[in-house]
Amino acid sequence: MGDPDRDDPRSQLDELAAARDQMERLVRVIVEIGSDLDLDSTLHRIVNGAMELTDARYAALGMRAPDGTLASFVQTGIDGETARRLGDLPVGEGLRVDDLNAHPQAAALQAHDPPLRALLGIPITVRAADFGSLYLADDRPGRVFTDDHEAAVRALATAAAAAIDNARLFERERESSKWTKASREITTALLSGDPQTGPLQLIVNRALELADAEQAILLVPREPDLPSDEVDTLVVAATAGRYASEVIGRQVPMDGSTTGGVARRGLPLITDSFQYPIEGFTDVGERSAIVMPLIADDRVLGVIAVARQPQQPAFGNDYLELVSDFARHAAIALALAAGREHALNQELAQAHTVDDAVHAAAEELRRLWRARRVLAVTFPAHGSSGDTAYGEPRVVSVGEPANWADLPSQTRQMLSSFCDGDLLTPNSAEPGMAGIALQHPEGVLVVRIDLTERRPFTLEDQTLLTVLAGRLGQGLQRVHQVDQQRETALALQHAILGPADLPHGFAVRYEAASRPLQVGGDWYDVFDLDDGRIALIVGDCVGHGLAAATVMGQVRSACRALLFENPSPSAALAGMDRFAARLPGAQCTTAVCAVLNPDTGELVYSSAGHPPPVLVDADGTTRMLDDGHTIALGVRADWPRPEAHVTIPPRATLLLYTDGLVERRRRLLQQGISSAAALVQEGRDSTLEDLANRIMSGLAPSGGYQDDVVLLLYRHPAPLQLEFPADVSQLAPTRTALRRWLTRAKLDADQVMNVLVAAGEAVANAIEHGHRHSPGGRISLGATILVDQVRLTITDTGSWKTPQPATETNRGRGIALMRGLMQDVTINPDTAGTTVHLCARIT
Amino acid sequence: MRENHLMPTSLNLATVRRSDGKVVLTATGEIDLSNIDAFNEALSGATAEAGRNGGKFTVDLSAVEYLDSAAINALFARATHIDVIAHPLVMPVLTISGITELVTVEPAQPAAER
Repeated sequence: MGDPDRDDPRSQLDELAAARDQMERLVRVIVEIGSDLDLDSTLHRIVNGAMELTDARYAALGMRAPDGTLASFVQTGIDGETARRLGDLPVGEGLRVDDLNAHPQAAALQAHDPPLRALLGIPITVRAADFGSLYLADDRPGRVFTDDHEAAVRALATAAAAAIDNARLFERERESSKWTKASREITTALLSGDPQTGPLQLIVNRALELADAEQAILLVPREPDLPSDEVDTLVVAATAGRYASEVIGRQVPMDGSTTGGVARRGLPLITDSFQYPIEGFTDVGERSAIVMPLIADDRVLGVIAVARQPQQPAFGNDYLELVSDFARHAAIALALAAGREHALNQELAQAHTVDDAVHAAAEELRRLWRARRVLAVTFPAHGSSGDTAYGEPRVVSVGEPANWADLPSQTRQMLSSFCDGDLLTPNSAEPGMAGIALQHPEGVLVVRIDLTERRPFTLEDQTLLTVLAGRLGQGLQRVHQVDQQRETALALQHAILGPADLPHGFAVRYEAASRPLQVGGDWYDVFDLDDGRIALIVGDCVGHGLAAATVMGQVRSACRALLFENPSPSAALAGMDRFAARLPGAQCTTAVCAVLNPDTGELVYSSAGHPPPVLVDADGTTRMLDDGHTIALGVRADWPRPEAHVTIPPRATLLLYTDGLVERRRRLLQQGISSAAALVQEGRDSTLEDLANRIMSGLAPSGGYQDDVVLLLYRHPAPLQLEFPADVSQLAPTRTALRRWLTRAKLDADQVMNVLVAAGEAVANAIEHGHRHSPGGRISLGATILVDQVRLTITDTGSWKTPQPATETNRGRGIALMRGLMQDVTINPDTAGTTVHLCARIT
Repeated sequence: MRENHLMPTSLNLATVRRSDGKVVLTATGEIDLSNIDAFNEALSGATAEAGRNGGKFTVDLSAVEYLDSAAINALFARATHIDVIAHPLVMPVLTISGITELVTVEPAQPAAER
């Protein structure tokens, strides 16, 4: 500040103005030096800013190495050597010299031409540590640094310390993320299994690059299968950078070597001297090197040593942390990529379907992390164009039940954002959880792990998750391919087996004895003949397994063709005799061949050595259809084949089967047939599907069926199935068809009328209310007979509008009529249409 | 679709004044939503015819083997003017609807006994 003794007001004003200008300059310079986070440019800005504040000709900033010497300089106006000599002057808390010629320690600076005269040196302290010193110098005669200059530079030094600190933090962060990114790249690259570059090579390449080093080598135990404590020698297995050919394959004892010590202790270190020479590494000059172990699952897989050039700065201790993370990462990836048998792989290998695999993987991940819950959510992609539209997510949850709709919206959003993010990139948005997205054969699978406690999901956890997710993605793809092949095989088997869609009124069960085959030597067939009748065949070729199945497929087709040609069971079986005699493996095939008139229930049948069909009437009367029976197929040429007739009464149940259903060791066949007949009799009031299940489970031996089994059920009359436009003109024809069917079911005239009126009301409602405003709709009417009741279902595609008040009474009368005439009426309105169920007890 | 509208359920309707002066509407066939307009018109016609003569008339449904709530609604609307003769098969339907409580409904004699 100004001299208080001076009283010239003009000079005081000048001083005030100068002080204000200096303050403004100081503020601007301070703002500038913090303007970006690059350390190097921050240092340069500090130097230039200091020159500006002091009008000095020369400036230098010396930075201390870990050993306390000023090791590197940023300077302006003078050369590096001069800057280094400035650095030799002790700055202490600050040094101001008006003429260096008089300074005892400044002799070396006189070499500068012209000689440096005035000097200002100010220390810079960053986080309580001596970072270095800022020097300003001038060689102009009479030029000195003032108190004001010193004050300004001190202020600048304080600001500079903060800027340097920020820049250093930023640099470390950047360095750290570079290593983290490299770690992930290694994981991904190892998993992709690029055969060009082995995993070890990949690790040394990346380590060399990241550490900005001259040479990197990777040593592994010479005998990899030995337990860690029995390994006695390491061998250089991969190398990058200089001297590669000299160093590869060199061996180092575990005992008495630096690398061996690192492998033993499992701790990294920085050194420039190695206990045991490694030709091509330790003998190429004194260099700073970092040596780190590759540890996974408490096993040392190897050691990496990375060395910088002699003139490069030595590795700092903070580097150890970065490199250790990298090494840990690499080790885990290495351990798994090396193909060590992992539970996940085994689980995947056992899965038959992609869904099974996802489930097994979720279980395995939960076990690995002892997690509270693992969610595996599949987002199926729409179409194959790879657009980003996904269908309704499918959730597999282990540990806790969960489905998509019940998950908190926050969780759903998080899962969806993982799905939209990068694949195989772990995401740990909050402590205690992590998620990752991976390729699923149908789209994207997002796995989310919730730990039991809110601990951070560490880098190690993330690496492992990435590795496993990569494995899972590949595994799912493999399972998907196998699954598709399996589906193809199943489709072919089912094509051999017989019709998947049976005409109404039939129920079928099929079990093959030879797993995983789904067909065997048994077969069934049900198909419509040209004259409106239905052919039913159940047969049994000798043996089971694939050989029997191939014979069966041909026999089935032949029988079908013969019946189309001539719809007579005995003629068909006579034709089969000739066919079976010529087809190897088809001889002694047994079969029941029948032709049913679905209107009348008349059944014509013929049996070739097959156990008899069973017929159970509505009242429980049970008959064995054992007429029309003679020897098996292909045994005698021109053997006469008899035919028998029976009429299936209304509401009676017919059972056709193969011997696998009833035949048991040490038991008469007849006993088994009686058991089956008894089950049909007991279950004759069930629906056919329920009855089929009851028989299959009721007769199954404790260890499951050991032979191929066919079970075919028919109940007369077959259900009625009508579909027609929603129009009043359809009322009469619908009624005619329903009346015919009810008569066939032998309902008495009163009951027929009741059902007709009730069904008519339901249909009229569907026409009036469901479709009055939307013509073109359709109505379906289904009717099923049970032993003691008739059930109808009337479905329309419209919605029953709330009746207008004027018509309410009228419509209400129709519904009341339905309720009055039927034992049970339910009306289920739905946005897609209305379904009416009617049920009447048969009296 | 259009021509379907022209083919409703078959129904013949005839209104006669018997020699005793009684007006009788005789229906033959089936009555449902598709031909209910014709049935209603015939009922209106008979009502007008009978109005000149004490107002009551007979609806003879002995040859109607099917009718639904549309027909019953039409009968309810004229309940004070009509007597009904019905086929035995539709008697339960009429009873359940409650029309028998407002209107005299006679079951027709089986055809053989007529």
